[in-house]
Amino acid sequence: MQNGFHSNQARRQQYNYGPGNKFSGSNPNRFNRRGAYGGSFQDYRKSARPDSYNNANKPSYQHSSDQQASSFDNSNQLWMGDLEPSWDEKTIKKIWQSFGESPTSVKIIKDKFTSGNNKARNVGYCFVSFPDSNTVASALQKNGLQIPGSTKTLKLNWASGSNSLQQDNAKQGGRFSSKSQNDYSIFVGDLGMDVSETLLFESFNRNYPGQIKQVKIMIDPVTKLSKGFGFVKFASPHSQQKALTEMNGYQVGSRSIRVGMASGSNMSINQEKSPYPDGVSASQIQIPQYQPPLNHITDPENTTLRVDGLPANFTPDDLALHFINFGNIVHCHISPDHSFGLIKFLVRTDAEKAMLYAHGAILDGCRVKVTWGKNDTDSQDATNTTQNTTKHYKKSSLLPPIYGRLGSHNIMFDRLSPTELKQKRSECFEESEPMSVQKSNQLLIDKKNHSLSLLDFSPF
Amino acid sequence: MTDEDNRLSSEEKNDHPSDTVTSHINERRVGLNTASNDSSTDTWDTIQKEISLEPENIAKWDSFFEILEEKIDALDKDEEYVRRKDFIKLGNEKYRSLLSKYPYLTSIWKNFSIFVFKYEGMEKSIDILRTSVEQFPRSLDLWLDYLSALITEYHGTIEVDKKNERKDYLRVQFDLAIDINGFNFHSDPLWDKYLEFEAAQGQGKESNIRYFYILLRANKTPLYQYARYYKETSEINKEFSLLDNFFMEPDKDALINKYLKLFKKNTEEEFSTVELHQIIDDYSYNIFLNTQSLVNELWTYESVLKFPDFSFNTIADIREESPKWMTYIEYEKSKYETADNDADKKFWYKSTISVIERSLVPNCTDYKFWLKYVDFVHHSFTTEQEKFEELRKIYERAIYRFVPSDDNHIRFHFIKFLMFYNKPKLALEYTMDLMKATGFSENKEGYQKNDYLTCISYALSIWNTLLSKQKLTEVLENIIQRYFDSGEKLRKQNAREEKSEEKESDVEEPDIRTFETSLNEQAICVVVNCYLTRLLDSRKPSTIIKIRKFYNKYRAEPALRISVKFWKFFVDFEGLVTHNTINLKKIISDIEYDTNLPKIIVDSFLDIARDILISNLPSVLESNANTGRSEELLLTNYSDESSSLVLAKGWRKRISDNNFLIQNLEDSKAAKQHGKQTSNQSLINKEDELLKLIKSHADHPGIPISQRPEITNSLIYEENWINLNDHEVPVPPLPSFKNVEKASLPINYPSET
Repeated sequence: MQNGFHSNQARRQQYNYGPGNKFSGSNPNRFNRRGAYGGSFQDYRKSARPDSYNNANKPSYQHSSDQQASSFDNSNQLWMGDLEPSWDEKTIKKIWQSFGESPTSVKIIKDKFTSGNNKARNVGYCFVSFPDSNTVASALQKNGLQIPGSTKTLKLNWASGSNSLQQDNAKQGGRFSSKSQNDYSIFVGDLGMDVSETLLFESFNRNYPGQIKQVKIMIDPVTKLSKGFGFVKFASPHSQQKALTEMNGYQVGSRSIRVGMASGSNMSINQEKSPYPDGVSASQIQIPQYQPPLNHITDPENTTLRVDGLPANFTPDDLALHFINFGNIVHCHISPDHSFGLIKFLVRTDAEKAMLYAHGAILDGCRVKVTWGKNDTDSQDATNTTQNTTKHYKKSSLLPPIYGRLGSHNIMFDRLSPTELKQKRSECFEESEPMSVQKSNQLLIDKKNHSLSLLDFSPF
Repeated sequence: MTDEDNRLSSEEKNDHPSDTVTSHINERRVGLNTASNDSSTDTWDTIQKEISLEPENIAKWDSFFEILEEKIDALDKDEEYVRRKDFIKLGNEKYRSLLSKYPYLTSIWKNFSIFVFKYEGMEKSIDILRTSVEQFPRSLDLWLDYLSALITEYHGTIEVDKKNERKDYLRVQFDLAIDINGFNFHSDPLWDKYLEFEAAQGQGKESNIRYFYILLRANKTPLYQYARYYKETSEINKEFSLLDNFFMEPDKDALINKYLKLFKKNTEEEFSTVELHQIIDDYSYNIFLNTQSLVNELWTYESVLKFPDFSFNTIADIREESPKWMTYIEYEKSKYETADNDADKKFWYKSTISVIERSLVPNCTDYKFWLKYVDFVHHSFTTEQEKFEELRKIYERAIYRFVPSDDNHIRFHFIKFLMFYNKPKLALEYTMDLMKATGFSENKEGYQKNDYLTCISYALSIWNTLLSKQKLTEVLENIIQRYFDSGEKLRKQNAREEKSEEKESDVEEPDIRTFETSLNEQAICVVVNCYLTRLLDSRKPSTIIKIRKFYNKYRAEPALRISVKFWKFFVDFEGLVTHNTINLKKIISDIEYDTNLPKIIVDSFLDIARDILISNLPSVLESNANTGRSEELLLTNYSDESSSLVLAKGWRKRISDNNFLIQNLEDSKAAKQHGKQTSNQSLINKEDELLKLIKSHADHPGIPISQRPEITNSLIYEENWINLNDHEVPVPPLPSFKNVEKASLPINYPSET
């Protein structure tokens, strides 16, 4: 009876992790479970292992019970992906030995359906444990190396939080002992690229001497650059609360920082760095999305195109002729040394179209590259003086909007006099609106005249 | 304008450096021996570099000459004679080269003359001043300096003969100066100087009358200080006879008769002294009134002119002021045109020329002022031959001295002008020069494409007048054949060989050869167009065949594939001349699918072709009768001109054919399959590749994303229909994805260049 009950319980538990769970998208346990095999959601998102998505609909995880039984400290554990299906624990250990590392254990995640037979195939990743943090660090260095005797490369990532947090993990006796009583952290955002952990520590320690237990800046694993946010752990709730009110807007490095409650007080730092911990909705923490630095390439309002590789005999007029069909051009000129041309469109979408269609074109036998260009003033500075090339990019200002069309054909503003411009503006019309016969005739005639003049007055 | 005004302005003008050359030298700091040798060589080297880098920075030039003088002064006159001489020579050369480029730099001329005075003596310095007024005759300053120097020289002469000679020479120079600058509104210092000189010649009757005559001339000229001259005249005019007073009148007798009638007298002798005084007062007062009204009129124009000198520092201000000069010139011109008698015409002619020349001092680089000048002289009363010489002088001054070489308007006007006066050989010569100046060569910057091509067409049209039709067609045919049919080296060789064979003609062979060697890809298009038009002119059936053969032979030439003129000719030829709609459609489809013309040009061609076809619909349908199909070009309507790659088939093909990214792709495919390839068929579908390429950029042009995240087991996928009648709908599997990892990688922004 007892046994039966227990086995029942066990079965239910098994079942809970089994098929019944597969649609439980809203079940918080799901996150826990995923955490249980070592990757926090954050890690999962960062590294975006494709297979873990596929696994999400697999009925069960063979390792789930193992995990509970397992006693090893997963802080010294690495996730290793991109495995050959045929590899087993031994092969992986051998691989590591060939790199001069000796993992304490290897845990391969197997497909549940095939787990019955001995030749179970792995699902493409495993967890490798190492004796201590140093070996983990050195093992991680080998990320991306070619695996001997295979076409694959080592694909590694932290299975748990990064190693600077290991001691906390160890102290807490397990990563998911969710609430720890003496952990008071705040979230710090808007950090400049120049802010190091030392600098952040010093800045806080100056204001709360002896109260700062730890600082952590999140580093993008791919770019190795700061993600622009981090966490500061305080020794007492008092200083934590004070910092929350006092440190907002405080200047650290080149920028003023933003602080916020990480995910309620007393949250373990490991979970804090996860944006979606249990019980805390995502909206409570605002982690800034990675924004590339603003320059001419990323400026969404930039309408200037830079054209490289122009034929030596190209004049600005020739250049404009090849681009005018995309839209009205504000100005178009070629650098004095003839190394590139700049075309500024009136509207962003026109510039985008021009870039799509003209990039890679062959004009007069020359291979033309089209990229986003710096706006006018910048480029002039850059060509005049070389020291100004590092000048800060100024966001391009929006041009005054024009509703409707300016005439029968696209125009170049820099070829018009101010009075002509004004006239053009007053003639602006909306195509979808009803139009007098006279006007529409006039437009047609204008268009034909313009076509003819283009052909007749071409210099060659 | 009151006397007070006059006094004030004369005070203002005191800063005109008008005294002798020596006074300037006293003002200037002479000699500086303190600078140590090392540092002076350093500054010397830097300043030399600086002036070669910034030849338009006058301040730099000034300090260069200052340092040069210091260096010369530091050298001992006797011991280091040779080095000193070298430095002086260098100074001379630098001054001359700078001034030959910018002859309107008054201060540099002055410094030059002082420099020469200091090291080479009075005589040479006067020579420099003479050159300066020759080069810059409209400069009052330079004239005053020059005349002052001459006067000083004159006073220093002791021998009587030589003194008289110099006096006569001075008078000639004074008259010349007055002749050139007398109409300058601000020329009173010059008049004063002349009067002062004559006054200093003693009280003899002759010099008195000279003095009076000058005064009368000044009195009639609208000058800023006109009132002063009137005052002085009215003080002394009664000492002179009536005839002397009427010196400036063209018809003295008529004037005397007028006064005789007024006083009811028969002869001059009957006038009493009082009456004579009355007449003189009345006459000179009338002159004064006339001048006064003129001055007032001119004042509205003169008062707004603030920058009468040429300077690099005030270029923006000068530009701003140029419309004011223009209205002034227009005013003068209208005065000249409305003048009803010869004397007035002459007066206003001189006055207008004076204003134009003055306006050309600050605006000497502006071709519009030169054209204005040309226009005025062209419409003036002079004879044709005089006009030609006069105009040619104006053009040559503008072209060779002042108008920058990147502004060729006036140069083309010059060619037209030469052709107008029927000088085709001169015109051709000049056109060839201009062609070389604007043309493209590897070691020369500043290829002016449009100007160069205009030159080509000018040269061709000049040949047209020089050569017979037959000959010209032959010449052009040879040029085109040689251009396309062989490599460049071969072409040049051929040109040399065939030179001996060709017969003599009005155009010299070297001309044709230089013309030929300077042709580039665009220029040959102009030549081709000229050749085809020539052929078409004769309108014989044989030439039509010739033209079509030409098309078939050369249409794939890269130079012609981008030539608008070439395609325009054939569209016109088939559409408007021969009315051959089948050929027209062929040409249009060649344009649409096989050229690399800008889209807007192709669209224009399509537009024209469509218009032609619609206007000739019956014949179009007739020619389609056998195929039983209607006209595709008309059916596709405006989709060909659409800016959508999906609709505009021709554009899609053009873009994909002329995209090197796609070409690279094809090349790499071909490299992989080397040897296996049997047919000429392209390995990739270029248009598909183009669309793929564009799709990868969609929504974020400039940042290609090769992999998009996708759901691999989409519910709405092929035959995965769900039967809604089933009560137990099978639970669909969770979505699975692909490319999620790649898509969530940080975006790879193109690096900044």
